[in-house]
Amino acid sequence: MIRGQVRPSQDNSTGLEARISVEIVAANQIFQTLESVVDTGFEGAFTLPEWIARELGLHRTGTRPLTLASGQTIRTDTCVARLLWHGLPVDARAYVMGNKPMIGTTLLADCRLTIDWWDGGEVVIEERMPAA
Amino acid sequence: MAEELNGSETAALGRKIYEGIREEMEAHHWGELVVIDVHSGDYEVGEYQGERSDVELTKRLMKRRPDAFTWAELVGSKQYIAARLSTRQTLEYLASQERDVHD
Repeated sequence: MIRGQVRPSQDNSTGLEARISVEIVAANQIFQTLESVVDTGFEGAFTLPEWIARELGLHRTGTRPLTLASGQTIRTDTCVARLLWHGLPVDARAYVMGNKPMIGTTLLADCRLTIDWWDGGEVVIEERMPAA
Repeated sequence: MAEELNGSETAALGRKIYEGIREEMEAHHWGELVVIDVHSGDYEVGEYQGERSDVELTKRLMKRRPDAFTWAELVGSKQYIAARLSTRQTLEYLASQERDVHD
């Protein structure tokens, strides 16, 4: 189970955002903790700002298209990054973009996401239990 | 170290390499994903089950080509496989483009 907290958004809006801490493996094989925003409108695994990808020493492995909310297609560099997800190492595609790390629905697949949508509210991501 | 490419150059090179192998891919790998190293032309192809397949094929390719810089194509489809960004991410992206123009 992954736990986090709802806090005021840091993107100059008046809204709130659901944050969790994610452990990611840097190029030196040491885990680093990144505070990340859960964004269910994003279909990929996660995004990493350029400066964080550089700081972690992550090697860029290619370019992939992304679709903006307007429908326009853009291309952005990506890395394959290893992170701890429900306590296990998972390799996922990180799109190098944005102002802060964001978790999308590829990582949330087969999970239950519960958010208490108030400042200080709890964010819980649970693995889906196998059917009995 | 291979020359660094921007997104458009990578896509153009990837598509050009894909055109060269398209006939074989469509004959034997319809509906599968091919991940191409745009520097060497080497590639990995396998079943497509979303972004995780892309990651696995990229890792397989990088075992042979540690410096690979990749592009991906879905065999038999003219559409790009493109994850959708949220409204917030879109606004951040557009703001960053505007900053780049003014810098």
